[in-house]
Amino acid sequence: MDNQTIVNFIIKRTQNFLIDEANLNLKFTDIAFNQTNKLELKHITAIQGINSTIGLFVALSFDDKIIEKICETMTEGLDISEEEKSMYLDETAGEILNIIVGNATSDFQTKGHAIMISPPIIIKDAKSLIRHKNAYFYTANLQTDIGDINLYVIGPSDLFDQTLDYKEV
Amino acid sequence: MSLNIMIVDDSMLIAKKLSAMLTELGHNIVHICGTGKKALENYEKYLPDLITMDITMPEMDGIEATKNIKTSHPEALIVIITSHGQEQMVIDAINAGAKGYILKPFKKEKLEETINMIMTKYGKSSC
Repeated sequence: MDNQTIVNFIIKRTQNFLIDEANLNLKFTDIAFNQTNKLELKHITAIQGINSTIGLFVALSFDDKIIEKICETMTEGLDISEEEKSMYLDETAGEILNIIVGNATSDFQTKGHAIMISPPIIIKDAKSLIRHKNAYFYTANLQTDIGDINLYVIGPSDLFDQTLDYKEV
Repeated sequence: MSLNIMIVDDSMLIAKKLSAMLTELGHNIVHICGTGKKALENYEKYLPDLITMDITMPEMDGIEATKNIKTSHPEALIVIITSHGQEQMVIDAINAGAKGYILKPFKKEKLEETINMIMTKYGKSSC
């Protein structure tokens, strides 16, 4: 299965999550492959690795308003103090990505081989990622009424560490 | 029937949601831990009636932890709660000794139905 097909499955799962689970009004999805040489990570970004016959990183980068809204939905009815709010924003970002990627593994599974995914990690500082010649970037910008989410699929995974910095050779 | 349940999940959000749902269903949460390794270390201390086990966790994943707990405590009842939708992962979980598999995101009703199924089929009163 080629990367583009895998990316399409992940995009579809992301769209479904935003509509069905987060109850957001998804207006538009803009998809690109290698048309950008620079990715801009927003204030909260969740990153997860996929390890199988493919090695990719998937990242979801959230506008503040969106992650706050989804966090409200996902923590509804739970007793969360003011001091815990920031932690639960991070937890929400990680769990959204975990659900999307975990569910998507059923779309690109191969018989007899379990696809492993790494625990999600959260980057809290906005940063840029420049594309080197061997790297590939797939991007999808998902626009809702209250802000944007950027979905990035980045590979090959052996070029990067888990915070998406290039490994030193 | 009220059960003593141990929750194993590295996401505090999911652990808290699960804890609230299980408490609403009338069960007691005896312990929450965030890695498979901690679950293995704590099983004997708490001897829960049931464990809810995530798969993707640091240190030791949920499949490995299930295998290890079942090796030392064959009577342990474990339900996997995970985002992994792939068939092979379900097969691996069942082969490791899990008695149920719930896909995230999930609702309280699904949790209740799966726990009831496990307790009816494998619970102490069914022996």
